[in-house]
Amino acid sequence: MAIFLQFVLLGLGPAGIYALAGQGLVLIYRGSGVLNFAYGAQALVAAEVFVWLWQDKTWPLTAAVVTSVVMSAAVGAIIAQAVMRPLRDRPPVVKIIATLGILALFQQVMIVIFGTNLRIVRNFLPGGTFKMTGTVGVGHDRLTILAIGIAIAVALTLLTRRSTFGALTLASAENQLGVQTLGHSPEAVSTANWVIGSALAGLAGVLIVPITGLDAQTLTLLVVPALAGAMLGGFSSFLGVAAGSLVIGIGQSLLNKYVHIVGAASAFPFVVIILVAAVRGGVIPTRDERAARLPRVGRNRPGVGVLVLVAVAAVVAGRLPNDVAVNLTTTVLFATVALSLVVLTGLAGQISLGQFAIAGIAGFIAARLSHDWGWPFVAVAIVGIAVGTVGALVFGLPALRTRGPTLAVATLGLALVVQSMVFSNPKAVGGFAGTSVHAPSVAGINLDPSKYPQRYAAFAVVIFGIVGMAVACARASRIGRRLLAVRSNERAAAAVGVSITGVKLYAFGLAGSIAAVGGILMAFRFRIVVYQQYSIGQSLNVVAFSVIGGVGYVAGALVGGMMVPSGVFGFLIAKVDNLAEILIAISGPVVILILIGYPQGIAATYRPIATALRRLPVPIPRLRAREEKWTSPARPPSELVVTNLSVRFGAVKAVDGLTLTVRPGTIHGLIGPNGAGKTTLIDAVSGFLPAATGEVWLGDQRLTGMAAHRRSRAGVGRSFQSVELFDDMTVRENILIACEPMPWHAWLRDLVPRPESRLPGLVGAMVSDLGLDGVLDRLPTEISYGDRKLVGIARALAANPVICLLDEPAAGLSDTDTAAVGERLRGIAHERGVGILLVEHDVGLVAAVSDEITVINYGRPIVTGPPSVVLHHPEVVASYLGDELEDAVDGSG
Amino acid sequence: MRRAHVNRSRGTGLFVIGALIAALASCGSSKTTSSPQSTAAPSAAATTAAPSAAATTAAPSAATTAAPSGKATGDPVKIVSIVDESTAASLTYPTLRSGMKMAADYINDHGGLGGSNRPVTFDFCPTQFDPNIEAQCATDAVNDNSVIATVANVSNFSDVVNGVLEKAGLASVAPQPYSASDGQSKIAFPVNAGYLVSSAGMATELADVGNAKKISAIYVNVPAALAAVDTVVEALASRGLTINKKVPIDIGTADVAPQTADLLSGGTDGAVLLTDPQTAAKVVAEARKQGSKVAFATNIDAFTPAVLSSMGDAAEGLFVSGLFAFDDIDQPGIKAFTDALKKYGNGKDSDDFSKQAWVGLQMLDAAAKGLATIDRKSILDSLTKMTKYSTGGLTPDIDYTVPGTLLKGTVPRFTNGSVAYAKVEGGVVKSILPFQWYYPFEKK
Repeated sequence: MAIFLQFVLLGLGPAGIYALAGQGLVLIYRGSGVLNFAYGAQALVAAEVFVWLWQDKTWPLTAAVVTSVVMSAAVGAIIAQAVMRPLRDRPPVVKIIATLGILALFQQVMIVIFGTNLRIVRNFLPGGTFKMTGTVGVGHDRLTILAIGIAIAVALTLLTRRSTFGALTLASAENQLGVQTLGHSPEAVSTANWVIGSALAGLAGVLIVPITGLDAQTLTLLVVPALAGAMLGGFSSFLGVAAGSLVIGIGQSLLNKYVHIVGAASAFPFVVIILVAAVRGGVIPTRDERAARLPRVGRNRPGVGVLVLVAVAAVVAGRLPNDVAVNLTTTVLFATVALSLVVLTGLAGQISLGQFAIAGIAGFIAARLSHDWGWPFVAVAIVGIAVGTVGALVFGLPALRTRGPTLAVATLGLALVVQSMVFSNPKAVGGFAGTSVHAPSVAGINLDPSKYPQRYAAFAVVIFGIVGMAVACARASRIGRRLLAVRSNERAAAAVGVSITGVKLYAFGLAGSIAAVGGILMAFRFRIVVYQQYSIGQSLNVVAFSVIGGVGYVAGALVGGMMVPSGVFGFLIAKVDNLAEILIAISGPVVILILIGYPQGIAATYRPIATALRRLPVPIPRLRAREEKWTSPARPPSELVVTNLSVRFGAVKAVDGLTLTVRPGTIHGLIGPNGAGKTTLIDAVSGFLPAATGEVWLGDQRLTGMAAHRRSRAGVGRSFQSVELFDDMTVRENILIACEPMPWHAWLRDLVPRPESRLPGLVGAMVSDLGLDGVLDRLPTEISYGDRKLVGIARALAANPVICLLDEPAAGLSDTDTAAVGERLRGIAHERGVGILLVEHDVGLVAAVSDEITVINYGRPIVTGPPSVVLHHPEVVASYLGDELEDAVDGSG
Repeated sequence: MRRAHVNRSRGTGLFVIGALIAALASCGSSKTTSSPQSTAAPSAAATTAAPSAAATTAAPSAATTAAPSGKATGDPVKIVSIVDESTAASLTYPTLRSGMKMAADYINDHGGLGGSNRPVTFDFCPTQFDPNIEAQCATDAVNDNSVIATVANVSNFSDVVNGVLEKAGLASVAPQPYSASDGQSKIAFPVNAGYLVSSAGMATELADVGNAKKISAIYVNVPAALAAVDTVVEALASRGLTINKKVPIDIGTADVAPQTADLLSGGTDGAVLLTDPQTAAKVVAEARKQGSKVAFATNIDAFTPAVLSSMGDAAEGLFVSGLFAFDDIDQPGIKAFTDALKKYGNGKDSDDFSKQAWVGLQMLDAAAKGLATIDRKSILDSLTKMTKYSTGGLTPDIDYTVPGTLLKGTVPRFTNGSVAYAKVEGGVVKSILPFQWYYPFEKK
């Protein structure tokens, strides 16, 4: 027991360090939305300056501490203004990479100024040991740091909860426009958070350097456990960070003592994170969760010209000099792994900081099979890809309930687990001798890279070409539409029958299989497998270079591969003496400049080239086949029956025992004042919110408890008050996704070229009726608000729903358009037998088109009946309609 | 027209930016050519060194054979050193670079390589710890026909490098051994067995000199360190001991107190540091802070004079295992090395890396002596036949004609399985006297 207690107490040391480090990290995230990977490097800078002032220049302790912390705060201000401000509208992943650039910059500058030697720093914190019993104790210095960490957490909690600054920070994170409207600058709020957060980074660096020693690596890596603590605090709660840090610090200490599994202690924080992520979050984001803006995606369909290009490249690769062939192989293999991010991040909008771990899992399995069993290359590759894909699905599990930074840290954690427990495990990787592999051969052709580097390069080019074609085909097909739908708007995707869970897992699986292909080719590149090439650093590199290249484009992956240090550009630089060394020092700023100058990636910059090629007099042949014909599923008319439905938000009942029926071929109006629970009712009926009580039936099918996308497939369509179109897809694609069939085999079939989909006849007619023919090939962001509302209606109706729930379809439309919409809705209901639940503030429209109306207030029904009865109901008149009555009755005319 | 101009200039800019970003971790060879034009006079000490007592040499030795005087003026020969230097990982080898420069300057001032009047030039190829760049470095070396050998490679991925070099018959002279390939490849000519034997030497030093009986090891979670733990176990067995505790620690651990406490528990009276230098120093400092007087052992490269200085009293009594003899030993090879260090270097960069570079180039010089043509093939042949080459006491004699027996003979190129023992006293590393070579895997 004494030993157990001893290691619990010893765990307070790292816990205090993590708690102290995590506070500023969370503050910066709360204030600016930036996951600051440079946080540890900022602590390093302050620590270096402090030690220099205090130990070398013999400044007084207080002066050295204050100067270092103030300098760190100033650095934070510079970062906020010079880096984050120009990137304020960029996707979060771009900002993450910018912080990696800052990290590189700080590291280089510190190395140039102070060198790389470790320095043991004099302790200025209280010395001695707190003894619980004779042998059980912990240093006063550790307890002091822990106490400071907790005190800062309390102070920040008070600051954010009780001060105007805290309120503005919270408001700024939710709605920057709103903050501006109130006369405040979101930029100033963000900068202030950067300044305070950076000061805390500096303070952490100064306080912990007597314990960690002045070591660039340790202080820079401090961000990893700090991230874990921050995540346990939900990136919002400072006290949560302190509590999470205690769990991590003590847990690691005990694991070190009692569990002798390779990598267990380093994996521990991330195992905790993943477990927490599995409990927190939800499959579908709430209405308040904003979709993160992501880089632009390509829209070109692959052409025969691409195949010709790949063939020519392979032939050329087969004739290159050795050194060029080796470099080309490096470039193309990295680009292959980068392709996995085109699928995962570019198309599906999911962040993974662990793609090289997945590549490594596949490479490891393939190599072991070759080494231990002597299996042929093709066989080990197939098994390796299969295992890599399964591994990727495991990486994807956190994505089912988490998003953004939480997902990024979770995948980083999983990568760390794989690295610690597999790639660093000598028993797994073959110890001192390593894992030797047999030379690869395919179809009797010896591809031994050491003997025939040109053949291997050509093989790598062909594989990249095939995988790249598959990704491009996926983008242009039903797969791409579903991936982009999830990326753009998970709620809207679920509303058109897309399974969020299924699509995310598919994206992780497909991306994983692509990364696995790259990983296996990397494993067989050398006769002894080099597992370091699957490091976490490489996983971060592939994200950085993919985004710089253009993560939404297949060509972007290739550009990223060329830019990796061992890629084509590096090869060319190496030919110029001393240039490389000079450029190392400025690599960080260069990354940041590129991100500012080319936010969509370099490949996006060259879209005009692709456009020009398409306009050549001799057109490049494209892989077009005949138009595929299909129709929307026919469903028998059914009525929607909602009985005693209640929805709770904590103690508040937003919907309270509501019962209503929507009959086929009718329009059921639902009106009520703001906050009455109308949209909440739609969310609950369509499966976006869980019901506390009550039942929902569609005909004889029970919908209660069913997932949103299943309700959609069962025949419950819906639109959204805020439209919520898929902004990365054309209007045609927005409508197509709702009505095109997606059998299971399409998830494989669409990876090869297939016919372009067209809107089916009935949908086409409806689109024409709504006047949308002229905007079909434009992006939603390029059309008027009125047209966007109409597209939302068209999308909801395109799936041929039995029941359609329309949430304020006429909001923002002109009177003429409103009337036309009403006319069309009536036609659809009566001619096609669709039941429509119409939520609308325009009582005139509701009165004019509805067969029946329910009025609700405070989540409770007031009255249900025909418009002529309901609109004259005294309680309705008193509580809701007032002066609108006359207009409404006129409208219902 | 204006738009076309913008796009074109932007395109050019992109190429430049692409080139810039590729330098994130630079893969270029950083040419640091020794100066064949040096006019410095030959070192009297080096040219008049007394023969080594152990020098029953078949091959000539720079330290034991009078070197021709006069600077070399003929066509240069080129060597390459592939080194795992990474600015991103804060990993540099300044002493290796110093050793290479002073060795080349010495040879160039003494009649050129093998007395051929051909000066030595050298390139460093920093790998940024990236196997792909290692492969590129090796391929570049092979493609450059003027390169006659690689010398003093420090490659964690030497499997990759040696695989490429083997195909071209390009020798790897005095590599820092990191993988089995360095002990197996016929183009590899290691002058010691690297970390395998130095790790084992730490354990045996604690047993042989420190009289420790319950020896524990702390190691970082990387395969090489874990492999080193196995060698520690094997070495302790040669002394009739078993390992007390094996404690893992991550590189970059912020607070090493829990791991240090675990290491010191269970009656540990000696601890081997199988970690990166930073972690090693922190563990020793923390142990002293916890009041422990347990003896620690490390290798010479982990604790530079600067680190020892910053550790102060905490470093006192630290046992140090070295792959080369320490500078306080009176041997001709050591004197030649330290003299050259003063003459051609800064006089301070003495450690196993600078000695590795020095010995590597001296051995190459010896291999080139008497060759009608100096090229990669003749050098490889000469090295392969080298027997009983004396380093003047920096190491035991080197003989590549007799396979080594380490690790049950699986690494036959490791023909020298010795270490030297030393201890930190008064902030300075001092040899354990009387000086002798220790063989950790052989029963004492």
